[in-house]
Amino acid sequence: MSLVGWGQIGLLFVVVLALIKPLGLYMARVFSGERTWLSVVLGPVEHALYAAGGVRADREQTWLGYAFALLAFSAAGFLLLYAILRLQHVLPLNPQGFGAVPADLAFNTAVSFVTNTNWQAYGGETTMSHLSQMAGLTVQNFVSAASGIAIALAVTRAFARSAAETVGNFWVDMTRATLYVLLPLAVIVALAFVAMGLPQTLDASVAATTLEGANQTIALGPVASQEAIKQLGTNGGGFFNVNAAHPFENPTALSNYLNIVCMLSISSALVYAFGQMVGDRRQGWALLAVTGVLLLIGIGAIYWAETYGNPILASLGVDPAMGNMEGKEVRFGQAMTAAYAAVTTGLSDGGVNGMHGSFTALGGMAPLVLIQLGEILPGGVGSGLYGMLVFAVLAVFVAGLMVGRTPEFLGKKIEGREMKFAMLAVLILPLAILGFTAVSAMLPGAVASIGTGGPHGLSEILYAYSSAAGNNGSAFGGLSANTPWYNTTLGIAMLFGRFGYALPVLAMAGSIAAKTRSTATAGTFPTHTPLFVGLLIGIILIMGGLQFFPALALGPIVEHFQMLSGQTF
Amino acid sequence: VFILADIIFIALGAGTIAGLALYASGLARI
Repeated sequence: MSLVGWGQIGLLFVVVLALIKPLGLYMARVFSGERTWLSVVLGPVEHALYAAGGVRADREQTWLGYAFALLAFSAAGFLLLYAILRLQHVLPLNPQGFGAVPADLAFNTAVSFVTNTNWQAYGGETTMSHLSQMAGLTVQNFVSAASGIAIALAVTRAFARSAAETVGNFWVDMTRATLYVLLPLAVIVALAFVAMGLPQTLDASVAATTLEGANQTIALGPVASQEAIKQLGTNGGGFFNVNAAHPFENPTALSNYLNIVCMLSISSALVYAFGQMVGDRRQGWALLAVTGVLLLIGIGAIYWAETYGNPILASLGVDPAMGNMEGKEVRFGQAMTAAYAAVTTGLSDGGVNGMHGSFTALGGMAPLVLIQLGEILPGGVGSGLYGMLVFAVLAVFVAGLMVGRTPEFLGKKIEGREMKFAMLAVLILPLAILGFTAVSAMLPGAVASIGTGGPHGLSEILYAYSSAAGNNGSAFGGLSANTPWYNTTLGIAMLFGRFGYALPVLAMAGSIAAKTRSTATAGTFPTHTPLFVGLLIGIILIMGGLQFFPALALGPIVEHFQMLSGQTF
Repeated sequence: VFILADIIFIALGAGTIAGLALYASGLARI
């Protein structure tokens, strides 16, 4: 590790911190239904959309109505995207002349983008027409992110309101999140990306002659626009197969910086907006402190492991000072590869600028653990906030049990009913991840897809289902996942991970909204102090981490010890 | 254009989401 490397990481945190308050305040205004400086332009568009969709903006929904709207919208998105992918060969904007996407891959991809996972079992530049990329995948990049924000808003209102029957209007929340937050920022960032050298064209490719005289086809397309929302919406689905390691998707150290800042900006600002909307900004800062601590630990773990390197290579004469550069782009180096890897898995982005499967065993384990913690650092836009709030509810419950008081969070009593919903949400991840991993590790057909034997092979399967169920979408590499088995089961894991988590959370929101909000007294456990921050970190590590420890022990941990004893995979 | 595989995968996706809607209804009774 170097001072320069840590300086780069530190600067990243400074830039994001500077963005949190202005963006968070703006988002709080948008989601409270107040006028903003964009209302003059976007207000008529918003009302036209409501009129076209028959939405009564002033009519709010119960948590169940909100959940049904979310599911109906997602089902419609799945069907539309599936149809586009299956019919792309007869649809326009297909200059490459690609055929229909195979049925199992279309299912996997449609579910993947509707659930904000953006797992890519395909190579974008060799599979998807421009129409599929733009009208299919990029549209879902916007609306799936907006759906996540909408769920988080419902939970936020549950804490902010007292004795309320409703938690908001899903259609209004989704429309405002898309129109006022995601769309304007995506336009600005896309233009910045174009200025940094990302292609934005409807041409299919250019032909080039290499130095050896061979002909090469260099794929092009509307890359910058997709890259912008890919990061702002924490989607992660890249235009190219190798994602942000591709020089057209992430050409410079500066574009890499902007990538990471975009990932962190909205998701962090949303936590601040939560504090603003519940009337106590300190609550938002406390949750951001938890995020910052755990994210720094994650970045530090990867950075340390990759600069420590592989002693087997050193024994072969490779300069140990270089650490492990396998799977990394030289233009980013170890520090900014570590920062990208931790951020993209700490939240639910899933884009990659390096190959996580080529990291050292412990360096590869860190992104895996960050996904398994629930991607709450600060999480996918929306999904991270409501995931963190579930852990906060668990933390105050544990604290209440320890001191013998009725647990309370933001003036709302946390009782058995809320705990049942919280636990149903928390348990869905281990169920989907460990269940599907165990089955795949036993099926000869599924095992045949792994690229490496030994514990690394288990890590490949474990990572794939963690990424899918956690709605992350990053790939470990090595696993040939474009098979009917993996396309189908990973798709189901994505649906369970997204909605199996969100539905109990919405139920919890409905239950909490109905409670009367009491004012804090001397006996109230404060939830904005360093003590609570420490408690919450402990709960996250215990509840989120320990469930997966046995599987990790059989994968990356044993691989690390085998590396130290001279065996590598 | 629609073939058996399409019917299966559309049913799988839409059916899973419909199952989740039933799950939500069940949660409302807790």
